[in-house]
Formats: sequence, structure tokens, C-alpha cells
Amino acid sequence: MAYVLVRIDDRLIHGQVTVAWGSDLAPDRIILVNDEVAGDEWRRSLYAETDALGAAVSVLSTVEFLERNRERRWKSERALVLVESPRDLLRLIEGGLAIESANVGGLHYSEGKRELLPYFFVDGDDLEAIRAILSRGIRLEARDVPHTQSIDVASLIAGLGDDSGREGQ
Amino acid sequence: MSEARKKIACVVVAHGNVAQCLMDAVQGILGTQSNWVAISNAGLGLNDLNAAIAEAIAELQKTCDVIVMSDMPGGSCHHACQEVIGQNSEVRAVSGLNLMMLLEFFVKRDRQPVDDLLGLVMERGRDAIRIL
Repeated sequence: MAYVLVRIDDRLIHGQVTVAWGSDLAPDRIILVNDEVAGDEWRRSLYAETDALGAAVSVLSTVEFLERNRERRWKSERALVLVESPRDLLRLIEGGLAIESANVGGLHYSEGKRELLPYFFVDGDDLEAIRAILSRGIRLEARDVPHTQSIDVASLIAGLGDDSGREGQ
Repeated sequence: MSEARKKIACVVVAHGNVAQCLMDAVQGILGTQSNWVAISNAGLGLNDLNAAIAEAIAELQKTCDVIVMSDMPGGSCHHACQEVIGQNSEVRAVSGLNLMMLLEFFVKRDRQPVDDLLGLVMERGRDAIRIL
């Protein structure tokens, strides 16, 4: 099944997704796949009720998403999939999500992370997951909003050590 | 009908740093935008504020239709906008500026004529005001 966009973004559903990508891609549905949010009744309903400017919103756990993905639940929709981290995306891919490419839209700073771009910081675990995704022949592009430069993540991380977060230079 | 539609620009006029800050937020969400000017009333008397708005409009009107957005009905920014558009019937103006209005403007401005766009901007701005 082809999704209009599969995006890693640690702000989950926010303005860049609903307004910028939403107006560019006109998705029918935004699917947030996040075990923490899906497992917390209050946060789940908060996100599920997001006004996504015309798109429906689904908040699902990894297991729920993979089950519906297998059933081709959204085959007649223009669905946009959102995950919080490279590790979460890898989990979906390992669980059967077949994609050719994905977008890295926002991995913001936290302690021990190294800056690749102003909106793209990684630690060792992120890098490991990113490399595992790339090794499956999936292309990753970094781009926060549409109509800006798409940056190839494979080139961006070429030459970085395994332990990038803790090198502390 | 045959004439290509003009681009639509906006002049954002507000107290303090509000206009520039709102445009920073818009560009954080949508990426860099062209054909806009942010104006603050800080330190400007009414005449200078009028002049700053008129100058921005004149520059943008060389290539675009122009909508002026001000923050507060009854404030100096809004009065100045009213004075300027009183002498320039081509320009549209709205007040009550909020972030959703600006986002709607920049997302939709290439897709419809200026009066339709103005309607969408008003509607989105009103709809954004809610009790949580």
C-alpha cells in the first residue's frame, strides 16, 4: 500500500504536518503510530481530536497499525504515517510496513544528541536504527517542510562514528 | 479571464514585535515565504506609521494584489491601515490578526482571487478561536 508520506517527527502531529504537509499532499488521514500515546487514554483522545484541517486522525499502537496495514485498511485513502523516532519506524518496517522511502522531519535536540541539521539531532540509537533502515534499501530524506531542499540522509551520516552521541567534541 | 492572476501579497501591521514574530512562526511552519512585509508601530507616530504602510503597499503592488492585516480593531495599527486603504481602493484590509489567518493566507494565496482568499482567511481565523 502506498502512503502519501511516512515521516519521523518527534513533535508528532503539529503545524508543519497539518498545515504545511497537509495542504501540500491533501491527505485524507493522518496515522500517528506511537505506543505511548496510544496507551494513554487522555493523550490518545487529545491527538485523535486534533483538527487536522480536513484529514481524519488515527492514533494507533505499533501492533494495531501493523494489523490494519496487513489488512490494507487504508488502501483507498491518502494516508500519511507519523512516527516519533527512527527506532519506531524500523519496528514498523520489521513488522511488515513496505516502503521505498521515508521523510525525517524533526528529531529535536536532547542531551547527548549530535546536530546534523537544525531540526535533526541523533544519538547512537537513532544512528543504528537509521542505518538498519537504509540497509534495507529504503531511502531517507531530511526535509522539515515541503518546497524546501530534500537532503539525503545516507550522505548526511556517511562518515559519522557509531557512537555519535557520546563523542562529546 | 485571459489575464493571468496576480500574486497576492500581505502587509502585517501590529503592536510590538507581534507582526515579525507571527511571520517567524509562519515561516517555521511553512518554510520561507516571499511577498510580505511586517510592520511594527513601535516608536512611530500616526503619520510615520501611515507612511510605512503606504510605502510597503506601493512596493508590493508593483507585482501583486495586497491584503493588509492588522492586530486590533481600534488600535493605531488598524487606524493607520484604514487611513491608507481609504486612499487606495485596490487594497483589502482585515483586523484581528492571528496565526491561523496568516497560515491560511500563505497556504491558499496562489489558488484563488483576492476576495475569495479574504473570505477563507476570515473564516479560518474565527474558527481558530475555541474553548478547550
